[in-house]
Amino acid sequence: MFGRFFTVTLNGKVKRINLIVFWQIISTILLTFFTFFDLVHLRVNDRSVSPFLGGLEIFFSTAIVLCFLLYIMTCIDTERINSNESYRLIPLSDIKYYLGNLLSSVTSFLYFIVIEIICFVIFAGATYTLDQKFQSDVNTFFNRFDSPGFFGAPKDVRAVAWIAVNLIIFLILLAFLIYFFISFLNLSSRAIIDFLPGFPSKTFLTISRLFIIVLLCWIFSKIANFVGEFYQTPLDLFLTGLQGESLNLLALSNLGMLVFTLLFLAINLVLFTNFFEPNEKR
Amino acid sequence: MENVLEIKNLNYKKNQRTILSEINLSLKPGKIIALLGENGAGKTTLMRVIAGVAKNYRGLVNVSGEAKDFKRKAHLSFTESLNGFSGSLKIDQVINLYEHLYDDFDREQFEQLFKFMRLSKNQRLSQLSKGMREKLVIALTFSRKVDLYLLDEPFSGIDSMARKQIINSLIRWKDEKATVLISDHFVNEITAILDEVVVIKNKTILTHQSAEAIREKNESIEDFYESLYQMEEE
Repeated sequence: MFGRFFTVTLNGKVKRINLIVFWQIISTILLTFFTFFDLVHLRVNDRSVSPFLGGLEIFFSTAIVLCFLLYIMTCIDTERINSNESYRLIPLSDIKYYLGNLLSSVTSFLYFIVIEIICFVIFAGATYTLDQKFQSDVNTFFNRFDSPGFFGAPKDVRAVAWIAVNLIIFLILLAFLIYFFISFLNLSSRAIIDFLPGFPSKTFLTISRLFIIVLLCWIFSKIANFVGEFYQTPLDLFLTGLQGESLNLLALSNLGMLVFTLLFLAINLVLFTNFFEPNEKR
Repeated sequence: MENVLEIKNLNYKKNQRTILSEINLSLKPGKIIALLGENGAGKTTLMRVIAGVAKNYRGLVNVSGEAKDFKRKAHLSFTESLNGFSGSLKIDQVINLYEHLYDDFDREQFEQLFKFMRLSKNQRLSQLSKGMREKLVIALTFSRKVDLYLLDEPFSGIDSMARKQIINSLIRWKDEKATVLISDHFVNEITAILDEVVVIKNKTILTHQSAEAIREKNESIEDFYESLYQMEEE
């Protein structure tokens, strides 16, 4: 049942991603086409660019924006499925339901990233083949790697690789932590609202829920400030400059992030299993 | 024979308001039972508790011997309004979803019910009238092979033709051993097919009687139900 639920929710999420990527590709191709026939004049960073390079830059920029937007949409969508009565009626334990929904969201987001990378590589390949200037610029760029001593000492290479790996882990953990916090706000505010005496109107209920969410955010900001005195986030380490000791602290700091992420997941599972009822729409 | 539904000392509170209080109910297999009560009596909440979607209740709820929420869900089919699905979904897609999500979904039975209800698969959920939607919900609910069917006000807001079709489908497609619990606040629609009557009032179960016993007293179920409310008013 877990697999089936995962597949059904994943299909829904992937369908939307396909639609988004389809329109992104169509708009990029159209823009390149119009620029090619001088119907549109593309300027990027205040400089004229060739139609193909312009298209590639547009695709890359929209990919970054869409990545951010899709993350927010995925968070909202995941919470919407959590409160969906049609799905909550399937014979699946609440823990498996929450995790299945989460897993399908993560998979759909990874799918989006992979699709974007593939499309970017295709667009970049086309630009490389059709734009002579871009081709020579790319060749010059890669020729730099051939020069002796470009990578520096092996110790520096290891340090850069260590930072890169930790940065990727940090970004993944941050994405999970932000989602779990959003989920926590949704689950806990609903649980508190269900516990409080009845509300005279829907507007009053919405305002009360918003107030609870703001209050919870304020409490957590205080907790975060307190924890911040003992714990340096990977972001703090990145901002203060990574040298010597702080390089070693990166992994420990990411481990701390993992603990906070798992803690939020555990709280959410308790709230979801014991208090969170699906919406009753009649 | 083991009871298909067993509820003991069920209490449910929400927003500091008692909605269900000390509910005790046992239902035998193979029966059609009406759950009657006025609007806001707690019929839907009771069904949601049985269906395992209402949380934080106290007491014991057993369906076919299973007490855990998710295990109960495997033994029952609840008329869900399909509001969780996107309105742009075609009926065909909803059927595929049901078939994919429920092991016990009988496609053949669904096709028969679907034909009987005179529905069309090309329509989108948002295009369905209330009556058609209700018929689709009933067809989906009865296409699952389970021990307990929970029909929550299946006749509200639909025309008499659709009501007749739903009632006829109940008689025709109900498995011999399956139990059907129908909640409603109108009685006359379903009296002919009932085996038992459960009346919910003041947050608890006021009475649970066999339809035959009521009829033996030369009383119609409608009169019996109304008399319970008149007694209270007097």
